[in-house]
Amino acid sequence: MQTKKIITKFLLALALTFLIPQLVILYIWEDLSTRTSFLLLLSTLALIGIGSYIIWDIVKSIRGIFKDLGEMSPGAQQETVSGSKDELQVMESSIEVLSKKIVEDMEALQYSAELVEKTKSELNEALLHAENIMDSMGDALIVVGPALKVKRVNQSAKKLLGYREEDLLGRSIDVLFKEIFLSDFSTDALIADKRMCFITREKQEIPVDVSIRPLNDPKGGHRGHVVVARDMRMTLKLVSRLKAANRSLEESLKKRTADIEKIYTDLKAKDTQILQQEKMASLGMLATGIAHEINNPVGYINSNLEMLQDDLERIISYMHLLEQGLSAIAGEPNQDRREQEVAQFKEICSKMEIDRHARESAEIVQESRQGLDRIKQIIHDLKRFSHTGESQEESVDLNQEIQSTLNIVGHELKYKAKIVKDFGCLPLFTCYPHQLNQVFMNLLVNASQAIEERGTITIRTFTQEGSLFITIQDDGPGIPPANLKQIFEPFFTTKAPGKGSGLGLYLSRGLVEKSGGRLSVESTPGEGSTFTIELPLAKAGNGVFEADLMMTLPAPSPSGAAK
Amino acid sequence: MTRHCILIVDDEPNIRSSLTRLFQRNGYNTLLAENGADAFSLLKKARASAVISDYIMPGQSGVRFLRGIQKHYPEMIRVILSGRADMARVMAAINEGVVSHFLLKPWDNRVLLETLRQAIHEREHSAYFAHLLQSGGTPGASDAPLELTYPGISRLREADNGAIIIDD
Repeated sequence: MQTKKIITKFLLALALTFLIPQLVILYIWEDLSTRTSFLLLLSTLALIGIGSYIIWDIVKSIRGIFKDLGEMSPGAQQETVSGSKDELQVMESSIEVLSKKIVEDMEALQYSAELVEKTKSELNEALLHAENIMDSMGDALIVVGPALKVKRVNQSAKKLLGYREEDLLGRSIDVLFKEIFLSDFSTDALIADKRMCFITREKQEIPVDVSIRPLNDPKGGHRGHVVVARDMRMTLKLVSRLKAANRSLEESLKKRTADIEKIYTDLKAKDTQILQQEKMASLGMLATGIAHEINNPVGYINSNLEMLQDDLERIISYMHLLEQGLSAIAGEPNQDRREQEVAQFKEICSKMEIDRHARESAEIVQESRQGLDRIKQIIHDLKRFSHTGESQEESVDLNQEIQSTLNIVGHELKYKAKIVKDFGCLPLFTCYPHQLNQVFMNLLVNASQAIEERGTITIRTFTQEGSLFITIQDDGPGIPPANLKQIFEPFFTTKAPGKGSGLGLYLSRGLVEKSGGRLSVESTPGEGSTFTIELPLAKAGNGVFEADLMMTLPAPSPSGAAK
Repeated sequence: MTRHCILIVDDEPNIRSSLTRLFQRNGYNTLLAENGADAFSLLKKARASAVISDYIMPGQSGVRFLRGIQKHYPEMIRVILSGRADMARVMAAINEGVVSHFLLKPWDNRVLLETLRQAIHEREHSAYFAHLLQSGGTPGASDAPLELTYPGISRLREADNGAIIIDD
């Protein structure tokens, strides 16, 4: 149907295009023939016919359009359905509807256009803002695409690198760095503060700390990287200045340390000297006791030797008599006279008490030897005790060391106090024995001096929780609480002037600490004082100590069983 | 003639045995004690003319011990034989008459013997005079040499005829 209509229109158009030129030609050629007039009339009629058809067709088409338009608005439709079918009316209303619609559409369109305009300006503003922010950054910012070509740079980047923006855009990023690797551009991890080096336009190298962050869109696509580089020149300068300052500080510190070390060494020498003086002072104090202890054996040895001399003289004269008697008897032929001589000789013998003197001289020798051993022991202990200066560390049994000290000070103590020894099983301890001996001596002498008339000094040794303990307890009047705090301070003494240096406990604490231990005191007025030396068993020497031994050691009894 | 007995108090056994030898060889008997308490219990059973004590002894000092001796046995000669002593106390004790003699260890045998001999002699002398004073008489001229001859005399008695009798 449609095709047929189109063909008809096409044919009509063709006829028109053919007829109009022919008509024109005919009008031009009118006077050439009469036949032509007929043709002209015919052609004109045909043309009018065709033209009328075309106009009618056009009117029909317009009517169709208005009808369609009228259907668009419900009011118009109603009108079409109910109202009169006057075409003009229909057309009027349709046009009205159409124009109204057009106005509406135009308004909507204008609003949209305004919105677009507003959005665009806002976007521009935001972009400008972002650009401003980027440009105001002190750090150089370079955005690269997935192919590591520069897509965007900020003001600082341009300034730092010395390039214009157009020189940078599209350039490969590796040109801008001395050394940069593909591995630096991870698509999933951030590289932070990596020290790199920019190469500027003038081929100058600038140290920078670089962070490279991958740019990924939310859908997981990779869009490139943001490279932020911080100029480190100032920082490095500061660091190097700081280092120089540090160095000079270190040097002055080293010098100061050397000074302090020298002072320390001097002090230490002085300390050793003081220590020695104190030791000698205490030895001096003990000297009378030691003298007494030596004088006892010397006394009886001396007395004994005189008697031994007597005995020897007697024995020698007895031998002379024996000799004379023997020769007299041998030269005497008379039997009776001979027997008389023998009887006489026997009488002399019994008067001389040779048997007794011989027996006693043996006793004298034995006792004198005991005395000499005693003297030897005292001298040995004294020597061990008065040992000066630093020596080799030794692994020693502290029980034996305490005994050795007791041999020296015991004479001082035994008339003042009963000594109770409650020695536990101790592992060997590595230390300077003479130093600890001095501590034992100080504490023991102090204990005996604390006792007013007569009392008990209890020495306990034991191990507990990885430490070796030595406690020296007296049952003297105790230390007043006010003095207890000062007791380890140098030159603190409660003794009469000239009787004590006030250094004993101060030095003792120093010596114990030198051995890695601690010296502490507990005192109850009226009940006595206990000094405790605690030494770390980590220092116990030669691995002699066995862990399970510690478990089996008896805990020290508070009453202190006498031995 | 009576052998004088000497009480030796010392905590060192070898001192006791050497002093015993010395005194026994020189005509004395000896009593031995380790300390003051032992000495007193010995004195309950036996008599001694003199006591030789160490100054420093466990239990009590020699001076204190001798003070006790002075109180209970005033006639005994009290000697201190020591290697060491609190001199101030010893001097005071000597001045008070608690200690008659103070000797130092190591001692000289002869000095010790002579000291004791003289001390015992003097004591007997004074005992003799005391006796005479008690009896109201006057000492005879021959008394002193007599005593020197018989150092062990403990008592003198005047006979009816004026002769001096030595109780022995």
